[in-house]
Amino acid sequence: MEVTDKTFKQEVENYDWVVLVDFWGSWCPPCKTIEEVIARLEKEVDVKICSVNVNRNPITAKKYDIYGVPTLAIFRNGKEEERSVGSVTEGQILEMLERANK
Amino acid sequence: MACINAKKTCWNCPAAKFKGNVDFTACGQSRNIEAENAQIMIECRRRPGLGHFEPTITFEDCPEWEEGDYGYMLKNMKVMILGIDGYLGWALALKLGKLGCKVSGVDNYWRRDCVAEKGSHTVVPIERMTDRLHAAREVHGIDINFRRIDVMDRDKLREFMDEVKPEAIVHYAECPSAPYSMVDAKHAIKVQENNVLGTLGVLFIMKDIAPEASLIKLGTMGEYGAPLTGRPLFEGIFPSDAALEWKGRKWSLGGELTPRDPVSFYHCSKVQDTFNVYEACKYWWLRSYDIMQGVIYGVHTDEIATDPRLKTRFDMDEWFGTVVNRFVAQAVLGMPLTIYGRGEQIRAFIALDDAMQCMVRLIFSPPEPGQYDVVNQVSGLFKVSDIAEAVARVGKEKFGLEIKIQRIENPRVESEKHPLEVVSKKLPNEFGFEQGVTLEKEVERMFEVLLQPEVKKRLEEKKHTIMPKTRWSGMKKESGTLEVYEPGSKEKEGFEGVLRRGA
Ligand SMILES: NC(=O)c1ccc[n+]([C@@H]2O[C@H](COP(=O)([O-])OP(=O)(O)OC[C@H]3O[C@@H](n4cnc5c(N)ncnc54)[C@H](O)[C@@H]3O)[C@@H](O)[C@H]2O)c1
Repeated sequence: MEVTDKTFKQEVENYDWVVLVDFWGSWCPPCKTIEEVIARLEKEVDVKICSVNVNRNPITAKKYDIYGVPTLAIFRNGKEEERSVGSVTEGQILEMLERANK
Repeated sequence: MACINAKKTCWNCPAAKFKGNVDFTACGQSRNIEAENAQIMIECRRRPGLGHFEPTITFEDCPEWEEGDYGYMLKNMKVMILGIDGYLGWALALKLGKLGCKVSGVDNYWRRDCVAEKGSHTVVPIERMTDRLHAAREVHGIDINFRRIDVMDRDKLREFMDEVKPEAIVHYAECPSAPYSMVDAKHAIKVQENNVLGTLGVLFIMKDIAPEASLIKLGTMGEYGAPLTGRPLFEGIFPSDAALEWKGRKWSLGGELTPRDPVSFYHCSKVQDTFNVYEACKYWWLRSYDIMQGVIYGVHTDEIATDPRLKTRFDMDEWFGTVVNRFVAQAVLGMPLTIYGRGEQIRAFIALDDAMQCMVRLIFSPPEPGQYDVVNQVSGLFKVSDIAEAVARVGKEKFGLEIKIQRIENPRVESEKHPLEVVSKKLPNEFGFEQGVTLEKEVERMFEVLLQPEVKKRLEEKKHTIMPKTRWSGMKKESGTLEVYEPGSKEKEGFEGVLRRGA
């Protein structure tokens, strides 16, 4: 789901299990290519997935020091636990989720 | 399907002017968000009464966007065509004008001059610009705001852009010829200067004058080359599941530009453009579709067909004629169709009318701020020898012409036998493009036009410009004939092109 500066707290920070957050930018070609993988994973895996457009949601982007996009981050009980910056394959995302679900 | 762009929002709309604390460089390259509570607001140039608001209105909810044949269309959209006097520019100007766009355009007659320099001419006669504009007004009721400007003259172009304030800019104004760029140093430098520096100037002007307009920039499928490994030619950018493996390690290539392997100094100019446009989007938040266009063929769009004064140019000489157009011209002249080398080169093609449809769709679904995207604008892959067969078949069946095919020495340096797999998914799936013209249908229309006595006479006059004399090696020598054969007499061999259009 798409979250914004307004909804980030409620959807990610106050969520009490694992969330995968995809920070992306509309200008960023790798983000565009990951978009379709994220859309597919949202249907296929049993983990909450949120997308934050960093250009439209600068407050969240600043708060979490998103210095490059795409950034994929795992939040557990509202705390960031792991992040990966730059493009990743679907397999690498699945590995991240596996670690998070342990 | 018609409303494919219904859910796009102010983010995509060129009328949205960003206000407030927007620092688009916040991510990626550098970070400095000035205000703690930066809220992104816009002001709508078309509806100033709305004041400042968040950019979330969809095209379907905005009264400035109206439903039409190509999805939602921005009312009276201001489109500027650079290179409006050209083969494609003129056809697009009429199509957009008919759709209600406010069309403006510039041209310095570069193309007319280069063709004259080479001692050739367009075989379909075209009017002077003033007469074209007059006819467009008379026949279609279209007012085109034309200015004779060299794109390299940045001051003049800037002034005109400032006056027009375009909402989309189609950039056709480059030399389109590979052989012309291979004649000698003077020609190669002229082409690269005009194309690369012209485009670089356009980017700087857009940054100052029209940063919200989309730039629809013409590249070519020839930027990619034809890799012998048969790896697919993706749409400019690797998909997310592409990866680089090396010594047991693995990295995603998703989102990175795919390799380019241009096939002439002209094609090199297009590759340089690709990088310049890509960077400009990154640095200044320009937005662009870079179009890797297949080779164009044909003579027809509904708008140019209505009146002889509205025809677009048609060239068949060795420098400016594209292959299908050349074959039909040769067939009309009773000359064996000239295949270069083995003739098993596979290339990507699209008919004039279909290319125009694609352009309209891209114009009405603009990218977002900072977005650089690449589309492969292609409707079919054909082997050169198969095109010759198709032209011979149509010529014989519909017009009773006896046509032979000849293989001649290849003036180019290129592989003459190779696989080719092309991905072209975005136009059909994201923009609603539907192919309307088959090769055979358009070839038939071309015969009809070229067989007219006046056109045939103009063909005869320039027959000597057909055989290639410009070799990639630098040698100046006309290509000799290797073999002449009857259509249908050869066994099929080699590779077949694979075009991937599915979702
Ligand atoms: N025709 C094709 O098969 C094909 C295929 C792929 C890509 N393209 C690209 O599409 C674009 C249009 O192609 P076309 O076939 O219409 O070519 P064209 O030569 O007919 O059109 C280009 C127009 O731009 C003008 N122009 C060139 N330099 C200029 C300058 N410095 N200032 C002002 N005007 C200038 C020319 O006079 C001409 O009218 C080109 O960029 C070409 O590379 C064409």
